[in-house]
Amino acid sequence: MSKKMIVLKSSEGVSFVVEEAVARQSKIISFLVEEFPDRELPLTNMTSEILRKTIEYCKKHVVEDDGGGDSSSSSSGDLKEWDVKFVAEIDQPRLMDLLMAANYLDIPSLLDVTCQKVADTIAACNDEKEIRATFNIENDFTEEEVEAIRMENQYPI
Amino acid sequence: MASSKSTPIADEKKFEERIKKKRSVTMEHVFTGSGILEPGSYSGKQAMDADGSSDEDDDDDDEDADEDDDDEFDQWFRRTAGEMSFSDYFLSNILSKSNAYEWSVVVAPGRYVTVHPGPLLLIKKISYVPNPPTIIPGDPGCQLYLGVDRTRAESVIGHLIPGFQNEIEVHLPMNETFTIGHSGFERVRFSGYRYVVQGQPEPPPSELRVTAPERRRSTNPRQWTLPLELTSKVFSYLSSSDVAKAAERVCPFFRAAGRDPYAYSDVDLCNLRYGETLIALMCIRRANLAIKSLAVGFSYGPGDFDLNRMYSGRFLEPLQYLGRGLKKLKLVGLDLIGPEHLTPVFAVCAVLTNLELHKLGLVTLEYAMSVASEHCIQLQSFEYSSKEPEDGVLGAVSDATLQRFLTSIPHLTSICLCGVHISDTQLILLLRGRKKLTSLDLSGSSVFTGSFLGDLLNEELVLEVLLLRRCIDLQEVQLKVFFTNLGDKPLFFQKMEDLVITGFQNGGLLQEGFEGRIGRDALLVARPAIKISTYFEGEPAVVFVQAELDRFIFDSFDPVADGDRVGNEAHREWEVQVSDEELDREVYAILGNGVRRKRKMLVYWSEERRDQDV
Repeated sequence: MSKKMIVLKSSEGVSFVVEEAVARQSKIISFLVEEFPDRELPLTNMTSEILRKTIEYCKKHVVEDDGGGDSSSSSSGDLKEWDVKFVAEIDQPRLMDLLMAANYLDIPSLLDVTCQKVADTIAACNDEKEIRATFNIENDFTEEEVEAIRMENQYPI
Repeated sequence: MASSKSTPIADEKKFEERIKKKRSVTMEHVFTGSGILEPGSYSGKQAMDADGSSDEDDDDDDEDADEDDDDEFDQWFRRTAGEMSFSDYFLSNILSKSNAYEWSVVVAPGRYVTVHPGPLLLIKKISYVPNPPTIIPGDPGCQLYLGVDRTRAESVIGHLIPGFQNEIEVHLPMNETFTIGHSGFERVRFSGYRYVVQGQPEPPPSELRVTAPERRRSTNPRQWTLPLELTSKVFSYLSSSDVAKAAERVCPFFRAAGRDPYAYSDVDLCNLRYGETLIALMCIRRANLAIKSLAVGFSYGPGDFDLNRMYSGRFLEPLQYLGRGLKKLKLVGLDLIGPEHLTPVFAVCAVLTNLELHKLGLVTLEYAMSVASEHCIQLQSFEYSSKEPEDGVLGAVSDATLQRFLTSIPHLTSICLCGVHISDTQLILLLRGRKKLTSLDLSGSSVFTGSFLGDLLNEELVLEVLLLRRCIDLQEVQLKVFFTNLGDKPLFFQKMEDLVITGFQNGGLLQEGFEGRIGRDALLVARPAIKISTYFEGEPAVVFVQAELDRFIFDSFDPVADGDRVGNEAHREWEVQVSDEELDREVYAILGNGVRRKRKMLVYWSEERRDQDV
């Protein structure tokens, strides 16, 4: 049985040919495939690099319904490990791009993994200064806001 | 009232009457501790509030007639109320020399704001923002709290009911640092006047905006490319930690993201060191209708101190109004949570997909299953573990309830029943009734012998995971039959992936070395797709982290010493008794029963950290 392939095009115009089952993990693509069958799907807000990463993730997580397939035989434990490694290898700006791509394409599991990674990065910081340093964020609070924050009672949360 | 000379007891009685008459006055004093008192200056007249004057007129007439009484009353009042009362002299003195500025503060749900009043601040009006507020069905309105930092006591000063009473007028003069908060799900504005002695510089901006305007001017920091919604989503992974607080102090954009209800949509307070009722309530109020999952409780902690009493049923109350979107609920080891708290919550949780009730001392399996089958028909995963497995009262279920549970919840795919009493016939009922079940965990349960596995030979089951850890009445002979069947018939449990069976010392019918006798090795060859682990457990499986518990107690037990922590419920009770005696005699005389009950749930405010770097 030949698998149906679909073509995704990144913002640079690079085309990626993927199996339909892989691409269908994105609810948006799933919808587009049904609406516009046999058409190249342009994803103008995604760079080739991010799209490649997204496809890499989807390939790993594809679930074959018709049994037989051995590409998806990895157990859930292995998949989790793979996910951790997958996001660990990506640098910060790209991780955020990937997160936004997951959100745009509506891939809940990838969104979960990337959000968790960003949250972990924040959680690894001890205080707000460290968070600013980690993400290179400027402290642009006005004095009025600083006062408002100070007024808020200091609960653990 | 004729004679001013009488016995002390009569005096007391008379003064009680006077107190009642002067309610409107005393009510205002009790909240304002003060070291700036003028001895002998109390006269019972309120010079500053025109609104209250009609009430005062009656008093004035009396006072003219009984001036002796008044003096005596004043002395008594000073003796009992002591330094708490606001002197009339002090008020008029300030007012004559000062300029008034309008003042207001907006307090978001689940937040508390500390205010430095300067020489004097008067709270006049408290109202919902927006007005009229969004009405959440069933919302009974909110209590308004006010705590004076010196005493760390939280008092109820009023009640707002959305749609019915959107604002109230009060008259609260404050002259020391205080904290305001409320139990509502909408923002609430506290407004009034701030007085400044003439010639002094103007007070800080009249309104310290706490929420709305930030969003307007929030722009992404350079490196942070995520939009606000996604930032909130990321924060939702942090919502139950100290980090969330730090993150809000990073920049205005982060602050706005952290204040989005979405940032608290997934609240996980499990094993949180300083977790307690108030923390859970704060998170739920901040989440508002966005709340999707909630996990509360301590999974560790046998020992002298029972951590599970840190949470009272109160934290579940808001879910009666907000729980409509709740998908996951996990409650672990909470001894004070019973059906009376859970029933109203489940009644609205129609979309709940994951329910976990672990070791709740007051919740029986019978109750859990019947309430779930009544309200939570979308459930996909149901987990229950009994607090006292050997007891059998908690973890038993009747056939009728089990049947109803299975027929009314069509999408159930995962069931975990730990430490319960369930028979082989009930398990057959369960597996036949729920053929789509993919995961079944019966660890630590008793009564069943394993014969149900043999009786299912001709069923088409899709079970992938079967966990039989430390099952007390599980028999080797039944396992042998099961293993032989598995080996002989590839279609029997054809989707099985994971099979765990363990025995344990001093209990259970499985003896050491059972895995060899039941034919595991043959099965490993016959069914390579199944990951089988069978072994004999020596140590008890309970994990108890002493260091974690120590850290917990160290962190949360002395809110006064550690300026950043909230007191726990137990600590509070103790404090309340002291402060009730000394401070709140008047409050108790004039507040209703409901308020008194609320008063029992005092909150102690932490020392404010002025040096906090923001």
